[in-house]
Amino acid sequence: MAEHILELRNISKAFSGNRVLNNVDLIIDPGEIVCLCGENGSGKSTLIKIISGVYTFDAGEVTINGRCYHRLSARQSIAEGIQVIYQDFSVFTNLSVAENIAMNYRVHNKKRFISDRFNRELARSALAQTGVDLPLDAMVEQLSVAEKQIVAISRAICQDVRLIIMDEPTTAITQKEIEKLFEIIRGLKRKGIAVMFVSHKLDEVMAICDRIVIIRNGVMVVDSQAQDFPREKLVFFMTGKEIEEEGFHYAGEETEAKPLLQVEGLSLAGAFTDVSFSVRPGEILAVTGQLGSGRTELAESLFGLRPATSGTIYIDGVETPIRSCRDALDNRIAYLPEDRLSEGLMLRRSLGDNFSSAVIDKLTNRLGLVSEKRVEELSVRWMTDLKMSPKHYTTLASDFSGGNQQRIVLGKWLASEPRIFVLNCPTVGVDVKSKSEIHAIIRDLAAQGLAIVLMSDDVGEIMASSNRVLIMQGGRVVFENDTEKVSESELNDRIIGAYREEAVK
Amino acid sequence: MKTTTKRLLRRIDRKTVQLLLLAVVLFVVMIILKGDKFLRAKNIESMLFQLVEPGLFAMCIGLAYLSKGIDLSVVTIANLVGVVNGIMLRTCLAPDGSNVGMLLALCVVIAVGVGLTCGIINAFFISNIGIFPILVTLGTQNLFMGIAMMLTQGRAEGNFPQPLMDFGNAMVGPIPLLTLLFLLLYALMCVVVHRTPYGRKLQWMGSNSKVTWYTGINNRRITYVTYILSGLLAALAGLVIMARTNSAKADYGSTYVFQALLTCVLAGISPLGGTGKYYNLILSIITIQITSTGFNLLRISPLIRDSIFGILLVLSIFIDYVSQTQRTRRLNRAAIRQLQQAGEKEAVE
Amino acid sequence: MKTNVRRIALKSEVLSLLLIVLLCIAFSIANPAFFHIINILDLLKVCSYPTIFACGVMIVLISGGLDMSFMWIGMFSAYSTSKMLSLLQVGQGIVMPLPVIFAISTCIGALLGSFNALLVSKFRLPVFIATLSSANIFMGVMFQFIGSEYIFPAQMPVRMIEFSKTLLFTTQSADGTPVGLHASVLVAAGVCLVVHFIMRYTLVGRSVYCIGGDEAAAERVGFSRTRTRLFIFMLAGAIAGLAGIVGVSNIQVANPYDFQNRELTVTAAVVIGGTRITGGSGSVIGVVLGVILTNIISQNLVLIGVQPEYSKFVFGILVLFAATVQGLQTKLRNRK
Repeated sequence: MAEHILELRNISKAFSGNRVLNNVDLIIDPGEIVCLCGENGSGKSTLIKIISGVYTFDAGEVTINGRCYHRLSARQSIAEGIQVIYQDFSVFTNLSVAENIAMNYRVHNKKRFISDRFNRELARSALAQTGVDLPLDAMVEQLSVAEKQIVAISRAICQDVRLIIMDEPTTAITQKEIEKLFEIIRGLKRKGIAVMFVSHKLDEVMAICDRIVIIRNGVMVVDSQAQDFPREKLVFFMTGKEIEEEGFHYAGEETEAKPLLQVEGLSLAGAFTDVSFSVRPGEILAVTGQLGSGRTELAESLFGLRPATSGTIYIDGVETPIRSCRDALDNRIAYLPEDRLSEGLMLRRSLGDNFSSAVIDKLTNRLGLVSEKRVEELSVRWMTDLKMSPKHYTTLASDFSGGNQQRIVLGKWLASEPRIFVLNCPTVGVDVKSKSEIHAIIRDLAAQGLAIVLMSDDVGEIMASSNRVLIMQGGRVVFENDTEKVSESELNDRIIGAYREEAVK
Repeated sequence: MKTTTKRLLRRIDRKTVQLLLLAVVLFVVMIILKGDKFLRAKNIESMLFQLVEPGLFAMCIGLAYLSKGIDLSVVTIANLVGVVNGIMLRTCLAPDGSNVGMLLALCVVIAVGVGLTCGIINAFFISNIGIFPILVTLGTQNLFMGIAMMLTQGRAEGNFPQPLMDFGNAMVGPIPLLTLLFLLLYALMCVVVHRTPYGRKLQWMGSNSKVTWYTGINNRRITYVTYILSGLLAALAGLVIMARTNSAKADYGSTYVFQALLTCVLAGISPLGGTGKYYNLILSIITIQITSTGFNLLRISPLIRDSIFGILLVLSIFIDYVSQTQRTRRLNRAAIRQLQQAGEKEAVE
Repeated sequence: MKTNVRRIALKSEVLSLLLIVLLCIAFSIANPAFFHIINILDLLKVCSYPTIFACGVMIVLISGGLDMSFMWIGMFSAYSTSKMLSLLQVGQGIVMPLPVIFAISTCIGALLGSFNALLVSKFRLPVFIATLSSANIFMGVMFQFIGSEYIFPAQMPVRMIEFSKTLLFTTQSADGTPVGLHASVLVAAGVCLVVHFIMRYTLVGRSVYCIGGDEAAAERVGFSRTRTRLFIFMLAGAIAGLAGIVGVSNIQVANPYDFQNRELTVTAAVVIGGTRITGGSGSVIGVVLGVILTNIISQNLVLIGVQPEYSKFVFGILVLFAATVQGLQTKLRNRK
């Protein structure tokens, strides 16, 4: 290749009191697929924002297509053919598909006046390149997540693009859709367009990328060809530590404990049908399945957020209807929601507020007023129990890292002393080190006699921290077995529905 | 010793300090400009009198703001209370005034009833139907005013019985009774917002209603309580208006809404929900009262007086903005220095 | 077929159109004179300057904010223009042509609008708060430095008075008085066309939708937040300035208290016309329908013998009803 598309030299950046990037070098060539890995807070998102010109850098230089920049604006970056597809896709849900796709082109080429016909033609040709057919006049708010992603990609390629950066492109879409996405990307590669994946799910993108780059604490620690990369060392490179997880063993197998939570024929119209399972105290039941399999809805039903329309729930052998969160809380059921940042944590409020939010009614004095002292005691207790670095209880939740934030949400629920704990993807977006610590916490809770339902799509997580696994597909339970009796690859295949009995034979 | 003071200082809200400074500065300026008139007992007394109504309305809006809502209907609720009571008094009062006591008690009952109903209507549309509070209360504002207009045919009700007037003008030592009651109520509401489980949940819901939903907090109940409280406080303001002005009119005090909106923002309670301290409200109420009385004494037209709210607000936000940017700048500079030092160290190694 | 019906039903403008039709039928039954040409022309005249105001409100609302200052911007611009020109006219005998008068007021409006933009983009204030306080400031500045007394027809710029008497396509009515389309309707129609064109067919107009839909995404695409905001508020201010001068001309008296406390009525009309209060969606057609709808009600209730006191009540019901329907539409749309 005559020329690199992108060349970063000694890029450094400090941000609100933190040093985020330190002397980072990176080269990307045409047609290359690079995967950028790193834990949360390692600086990878800052790096993307520097490349796309959203952030300025404090030191170093960026060379794009042979032109050297000491300051790069968003417009310049786009003009050089760099397009970022953000995790939320940054599409305009209030506009039509055609207009969304044409928007970048028009902004960049200063097309001040708009014709619908032009929009549509541009959109049609861009969509043709991806090989996907979408209704051009539909509002984007009516599309599925994967379709929104297609819109974002089409928008990126409808002008002269040389490098597409995709931030966590695989988190919100199903396995099948991922395959489709990879197909599109291979097509782009053939046209000489470079793609940079930013991901922490290396397994998924390994199949497609040519090079792997790992960043840790703002420093580039690995830059290697994919085939030369020792996969087993990934965790070490990302965290700088060797982490080994002990598996989970259910202690109560011999004692024949009665199930604490038993669900029979539970259904919710439009979400799941006829789900039955039981969990004994000390057990961790993993529930998995693809996006849209109904597992999130099941979790929310158990917590009374979306009460089931039929079926029965037994707690301690007693039939207990759960029609509201109040019912769930009274029966000491806790629920850790899927999306920590928008559903679990009040970012702009203090640690004390977050820890006390599930039990505030109990933290009162004789007058019925909230006792600040008890809130502080509670916060201190859970900070120590969850091994968080001690901070004053009035510290804002937004001042903590992802792993610690998840611990705050865990602590909020543990403060309510639950007997049944439903966890929905507790380690999404959490760095590798915190992940294993959270797993340890979950296993520890089970050892204390809680019945735990773990919703997860991370097979590694299921293998390490559950004793039974349940797979859902299209709202129905299609598979149930002891975790020990299933292999990782079988589980993987079963989840995407590609498992065949004869394949084992 | 030093750490305890530091801790205490940290607990004091920045906004409190700002508002206190602002109030003191304005007070001193007024003393310098018109000290003789401003400090006269009569003037102080009338200031204390005047802050009751806007204060009550600001308390309503403050509650709604904390829940990430707004309540534009408060003034019309107050007027509705006044009008209904006025009609009731006009028709039921015996010529010899023998049943005054009972009727005044009935007034309170009616006020509570109207406030409660109006609050429930607001909360129903906001919470059960899911319309934005600003639209709902814009609608109910017109609705309530319309009802009051229909009841009175646009006329003012007045000539309330003497005991009500006596109550409105009563003094406890140097302080008007109404002001005293207002302060008590305000203190009570501060406790409710800051120290009860409901108050905590209200602020949490305002800062992120999705999280409170996932925490099993009943958002609907919080919304209902909030708008009912707001309706009740507005209804009380209606009684105060009756007692103070000896009249009730469907479209009385339309500028109060804007004044209350601004009072809350000045106190740092954001309409974007969840942030701000309710206890700062009194400082901003006082600040605005000082300026408003001051302008009066300086013989500046009442219409310009209204613009002072805007200027005060922009001023306070500007101060906020400057102090905020200064802080980030300082932090960034420190970070860059740290980065450079680290770089030098690496170079040495 | 079924999906088509559904798509149309979900269109936000449909509601106000439907209501207008229903009301027209109801009113024409109650009052046979309803469809009389005089009544209709009168309605159009009454709607003219509120429609112009509403266009400005719509632009700000699409960008995701509630403008509370437009009435005062309009009054400030119109009053200061009238006062300045009336002084010139009385003192020097200079008579300014109408376009110049309109242009002056429009420019003052744009200038005031840029102050809003400063508050919103520099100090990062929510639009609602920023415009609420700027409205107060405009009011104070006007009363303090420009004046607060009425300007009566005798002192008003001559061209404005002439404008208020201009009728187009005149015919004679039965009793011999001339009947025609008021000139201000033409101005309103012109503004609507221009705003429609800007919002629909220009990049900068679409950027308003983008900012209202997703501000972060708009910035990532390459729109400058500061510049777009400046555009939004200057355009809205200019429109308010023009609306103000048209309104004052219509009334023939520059009464600085005239537009007081009418912000919410116009805003309600805009929302009833299908502009989403969360931003990102709205059209001029809907806004025009919304204004017509609210004015049909306030105009005709009296005609069919309903006390004027009831109009507030009906208006309140209408706002709640329209908002409820919008809420249900959103729910349906999300369910899909």
